[in-house]
Amino acid sequence: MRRIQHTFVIGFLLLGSTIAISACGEEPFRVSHPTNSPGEIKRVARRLDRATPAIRNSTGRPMAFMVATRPRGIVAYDLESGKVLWRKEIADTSSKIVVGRNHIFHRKGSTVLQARHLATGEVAWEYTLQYGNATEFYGMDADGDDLYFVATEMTGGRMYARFADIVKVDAATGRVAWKKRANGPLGAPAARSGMVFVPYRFQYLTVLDGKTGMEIARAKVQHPVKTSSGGTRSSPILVNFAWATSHGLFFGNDAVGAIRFSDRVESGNRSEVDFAGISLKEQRSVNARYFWDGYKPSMVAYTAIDRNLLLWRFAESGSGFESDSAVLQYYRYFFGFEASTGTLRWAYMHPATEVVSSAHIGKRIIYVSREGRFVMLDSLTGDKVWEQDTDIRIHGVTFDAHGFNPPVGKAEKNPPLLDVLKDVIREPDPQFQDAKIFALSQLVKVKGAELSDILLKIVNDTRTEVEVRRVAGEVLVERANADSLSIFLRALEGRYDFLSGTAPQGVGIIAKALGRIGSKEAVPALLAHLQEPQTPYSALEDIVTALIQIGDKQVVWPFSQFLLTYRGESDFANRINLLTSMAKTLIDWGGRAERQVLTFVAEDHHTLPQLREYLSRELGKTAP
Amino acid sequence: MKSLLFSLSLLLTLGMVRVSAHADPLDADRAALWGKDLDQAVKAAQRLGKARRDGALDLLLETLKLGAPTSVCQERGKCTPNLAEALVKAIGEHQSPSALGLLEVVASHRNAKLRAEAVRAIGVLREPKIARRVQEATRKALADSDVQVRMAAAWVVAHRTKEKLPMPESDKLEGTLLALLERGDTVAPTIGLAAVGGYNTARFLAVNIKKIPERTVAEIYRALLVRNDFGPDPIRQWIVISLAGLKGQHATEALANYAANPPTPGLKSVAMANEFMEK
Repeated sequence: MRRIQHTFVIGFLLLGSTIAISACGEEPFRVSHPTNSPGEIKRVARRLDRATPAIRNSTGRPMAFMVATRPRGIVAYDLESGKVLWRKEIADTSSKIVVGRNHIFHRKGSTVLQARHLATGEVAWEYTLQYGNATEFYGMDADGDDLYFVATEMTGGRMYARFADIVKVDAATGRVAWKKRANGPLGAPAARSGMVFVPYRFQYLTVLDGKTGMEIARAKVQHPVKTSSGGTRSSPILVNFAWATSHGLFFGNDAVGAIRFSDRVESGNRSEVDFAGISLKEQRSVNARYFWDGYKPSMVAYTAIDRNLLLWRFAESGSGFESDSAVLQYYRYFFGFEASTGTLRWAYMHPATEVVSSAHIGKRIIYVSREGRFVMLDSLTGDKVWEQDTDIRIHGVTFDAHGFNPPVGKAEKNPPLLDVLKDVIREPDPQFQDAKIFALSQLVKVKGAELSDILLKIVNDTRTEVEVRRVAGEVLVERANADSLSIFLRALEGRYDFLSGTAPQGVGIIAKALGRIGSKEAVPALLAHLQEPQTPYSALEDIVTALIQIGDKQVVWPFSQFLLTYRGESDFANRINLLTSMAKTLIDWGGRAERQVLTFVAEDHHTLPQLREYLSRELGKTAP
Repeated sequence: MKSLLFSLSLLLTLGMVRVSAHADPLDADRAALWGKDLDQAVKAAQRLGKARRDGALDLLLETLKLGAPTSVCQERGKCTPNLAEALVKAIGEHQSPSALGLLEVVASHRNAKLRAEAVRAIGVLREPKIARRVQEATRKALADSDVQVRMAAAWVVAHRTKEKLPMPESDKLEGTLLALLERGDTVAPTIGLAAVGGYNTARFLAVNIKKIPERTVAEIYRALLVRNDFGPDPIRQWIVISLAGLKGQHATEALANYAANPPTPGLKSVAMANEFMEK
């Protein structure tokens, strides 16, 4: 009986200690730590479920913490009252500002972290980074007033450090509470609910307990990728950011999308986790970046990346963005998208000056321009709902204003998408050519004949940049449908006339569009341009392709006449495909007479050798 | 229907090319035209252009209808013979209205030189019945983007005026040629306005004398002054004064030419030209 009691007590103790170890975690970054352990993931997700205030700072007021220029320094600004709370001149602020409950944090120079009292701006403490000038600083975040940062020592010009430290600094004293080292790269941390989330070795998100620094969970999410052989294989999503907000903890890849940290992460599959992304046709330097790349030390500061970000808010539950909406900022342009389809809903252009920072704060987008104007837009319509001017020249801003909802007077209605688009295209500043091209490329899914007309005018406007015209042409073709038929036919009515100085523009592009529409109504107009001597050769190829695509047999006679006339013309030697595709059409669609013409063309000495060779081969194959 | 007719005529043509009559006097020329040697083909075309035998024009038309190569220049000055151009020229020499249909098609050829030749060949056709089509081809050619074609059209204007051939809406030609001058073409209008220019031309040149090259102004004025039908004399005097005011070799030559070849004796403008020359 005693023995039984003894065994029971030992068993009970063992079980208790196992539970305690798994709840408190183990030394972090061990190779043996399980990935996507259901129990661990659930416990972390439960802790994240606890409500946290939408506004981080203890005043509860919506604030903007700005790095100002002339003179350089930090300004605490109350967005609700429109008043400057304090201003401190600091010449060498070198990071984004991180907001805690009673402190704000920033890097000063390259080796010092400073905490300032949120209410006064006075320095609370300073912390000198351990590796001095060899420090590579990846970023920091605050949970309450505790600061967590990731840094490493960088020597020898390596691309990534062999190790990285995550450090917790105690809010009250500025002393290190704990420091953990990873034998591999760590990304910028995100802290919330007494936990710190760190991207680790590019494919993991590790979760450390804020009190102890022990690892309490590790997550990895796989997604299917295409292989060079055309198949697919499962590969981990490269995790390069973690972002703590009042409505959740999100991580993912800046170029792929965001994942909510929830119970579902334990599945480890993109299709099963809460995932949000947008399918956009990116163009040149305009990218949909979901967050800053936490493995890049340069992202610690306010940079040009802050001016080309996707602004989003995850849906309350499940996958996708709230209201299926995401807004892309590119310098002074904002593009509102329906995220699931990538359809452009609205566009907004801030007048004249550059927008330096922006944030999604609930139903609104707030941004600030270089000259200190704060503006709030409705994230679903682009309507301007609020603005406030300051006399502060701004380099970058951290907003702590989630849910800020000032009393709105009459919203300034955003002009219709096409009107804004026209303004974007007319932008004279050549540095924004990428924005023009991006805006154009997003119009493929926008319906309506009016847009075809606008695009056609862009294609034909010789003052517009060549690249912009090219993209406008591509979009025009891609979205061509029967609605726009009359516009295209009208455009083809133009004739070459030296006297009046007119020449039809974009004939090739229009032909491509008409080929896509496939209407027989277009055949006479296309034939007229085929026979027009001044039609450029490049357009001729598009016309022939379009006529074949349309499939109307009334082209047989004009094709045979064209082939006879130009069969020996040396100018067609470099464009032999044009003649061979006509010949192929005559073989397929023509009768006995056409076959006789083709036989003659194949046998005559004056025919271009390539055409003769092609015809001899093809006629042989299809001999009656 | 059009397709059917074309097909039938084509079959006929192809048949004729293949199965030619045994004792046809055109056999040698036909063989040359359809042979590999382009030099021989061009010579045959030239012969057939001058020949007034039955079938010569038909052979030329058939050959052109089935497509002939234009010249290829590998290097500057080293070009292959232009058979298509030789054919059009030869057809033009026949001045037959039956060639008009094909010449109209060739006037829309992508090769500008060939278009120009076709316009010239159309321009020499004399039948009043086809004058409207000639006028239409000329008007179209005057608006062509290639200067060679516009020059050919201007030559047609001058030729038909000189030969007193019918040309509907000829009153509009002066305006068209002046519009060309305004668009910066100084070559074609010089040819055409020499024949059809009148008071409006003289006035236009006087108003735009600083915008238009001295040579162009002088050449047009020179042509106007020697024409019998141009006048009255006060306009001639005005032109003489304008030419005297122009500094340049061509203006001086125009004045000298007028002084030496007065269209009518006793004109005050001629005396003025002499005076300016003496000065």
